[in-house]
Amino acid sequence: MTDDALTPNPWAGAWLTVVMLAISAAAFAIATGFVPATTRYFPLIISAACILVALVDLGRRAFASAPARRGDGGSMAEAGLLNHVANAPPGAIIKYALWFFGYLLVIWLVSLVLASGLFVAAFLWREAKARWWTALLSGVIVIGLVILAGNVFHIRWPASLVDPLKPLL
Amino acid sequence: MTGVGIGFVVGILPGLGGLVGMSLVLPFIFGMDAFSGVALMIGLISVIHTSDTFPSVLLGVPGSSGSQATIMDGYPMARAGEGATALGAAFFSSLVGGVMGGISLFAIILVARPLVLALNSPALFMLVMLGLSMVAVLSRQSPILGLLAGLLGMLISAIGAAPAAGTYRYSFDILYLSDGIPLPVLALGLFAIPELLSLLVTGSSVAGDGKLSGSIFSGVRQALRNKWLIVRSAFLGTGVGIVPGLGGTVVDWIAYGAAKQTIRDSENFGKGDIRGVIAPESANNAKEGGALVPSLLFGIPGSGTTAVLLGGLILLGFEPGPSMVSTNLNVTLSIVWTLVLGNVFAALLCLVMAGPIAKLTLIPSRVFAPFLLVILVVACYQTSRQWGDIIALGVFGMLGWFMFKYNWPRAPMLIGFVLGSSAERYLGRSIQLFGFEWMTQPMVIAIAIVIVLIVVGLSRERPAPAGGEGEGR
Repeated sequence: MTDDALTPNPWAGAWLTVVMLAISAAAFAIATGFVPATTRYFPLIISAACILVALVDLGRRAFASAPARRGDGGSMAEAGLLNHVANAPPGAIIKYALWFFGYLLVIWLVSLVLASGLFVAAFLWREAKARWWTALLSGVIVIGLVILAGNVFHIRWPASLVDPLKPLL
Repeated sequence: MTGVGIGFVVGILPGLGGLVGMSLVLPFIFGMDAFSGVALMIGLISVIHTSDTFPSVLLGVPGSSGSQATIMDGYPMARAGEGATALGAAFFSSLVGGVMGGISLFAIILVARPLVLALNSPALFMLVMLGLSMVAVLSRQSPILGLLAGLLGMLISAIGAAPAAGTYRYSFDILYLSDGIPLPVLALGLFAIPELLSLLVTGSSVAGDGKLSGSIFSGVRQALRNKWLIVRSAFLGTGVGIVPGLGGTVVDWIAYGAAKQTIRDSENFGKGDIRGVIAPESANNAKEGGALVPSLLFGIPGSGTTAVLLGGLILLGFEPGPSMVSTNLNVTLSIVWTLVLGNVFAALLCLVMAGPIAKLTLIPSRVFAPFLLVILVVACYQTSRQWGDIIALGVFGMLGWFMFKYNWPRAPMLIGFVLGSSAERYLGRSIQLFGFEWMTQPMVIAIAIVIVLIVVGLSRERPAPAGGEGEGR
């Protein structure tokens, strides 16, 4: 392993700093319009500080050693600066992120109670390779527990697309 | 015992905290006899900050706002199969901290009046700054990113209604944003979602290699070995708890940072050091005793939980204020001893349950992940019961994931968020009342010196080499 390979890539994750810089700049611009003036000082000061620190971070990356700039993401992990997750195949991360956002989408479609049961059953069957009846039973139990939680905490669950159809059922 | 039982369940469920628990029991207070009502509420308060350690240690998910710092070392210990040890140490520390907090309440309440009155807005602002200096403690490996995360947390705290003005900032005419982002949503998004994704991607159980080493008793033994840390953290927790509006959500971070600063060989903090569990757990239970001082003495609620407690006391016919140490002294004493007993029962219950519950860390992530995600979404939604909670969980979950992936310290963002609104409020009041002369007040200068000493002390130390699970993450 060469020294170059061990040098962390200073630009890894720099885009996140750039996004934060953009958000801070937008926050600063918006804060200039707050009235009365007393309400704008705090967000102005904090967003200005954010911009400054983000620029310092980008500058620090720019002045980091040149050979490392040509390094790959893997070298950073070897240097211990990235965790094991950074080396996980992007496909796996996207797959589980899709499960997560898919669950949120199904909540919007068919209500949180039903979506929770469907999600648990589908995930256990597909990802945990559970038997179909185990997955189904788990889904039913989850639906029961969510309904129970709603009654105990007096929660009105979020509106979904099927809500207008409820009187017809 | 009913209060302890309800508090135990509420504490275990991630994202639910004292406010939810108190809201649950409040309707039942009406019509109860005074001492039973007080016992129910105090029993519940005393157990929540003990049982909320379960999700923090075993899942890396904050059980409530007071157990955020426990994640830093508790979760890495669980990943190493030492979840039971971490829980044993945490519950023993909670027990001692809680009992000391109760006794401190008894000792302090009669003499605390001048102390609390001495804390004016400039001093409170500087105490908030002291809390913010913990950002430096938690991000030594990447101070610039830590500072940026802390500032962004403060910026997020500016969303919603501005203090003492009718202006809504960064709300974009979205009703959900006009109340600001709720703390549980941000905490669950930043910590829980990335941990869950990480476990799923690696396909392992929390305990990794599928073995549990250590035991509850080894945790208790380790806590006993660090008895002075428990005592110091308990005093710190009580002291911070007395400060109205500061203690509830930041005391664990302050205790964690103080422990890291003051004890030797602290390079393993953030990687599974038992002392990183002991300090915040002792402090966050002791804080409850301290927080009751301004609540009972002045009727100033230090947190949402104590606000509901005050409501419960009023329902029972007691007016919080000086009468609590004169005509209603017997009620105050009942609160003190219920707090002490509640902490003892809570710790015993948690110690008994810790062994079986620690085995949860052996369950493969693909089996428990869907159940945990449902719990997270439900817990998140009940925060303000709007669609915005769920959307915000997704947004902050993504942000937390990328911060996790690129080794940004996430804890400073939470601290910045927690303290941002207090910083703005106290600074505004200080300038309104004293102009810029507030900076010359002796207490302000004294606290400023402490902050400078912390930051300078850190800058002179050589940061520990980066590891897989970096500190402050």
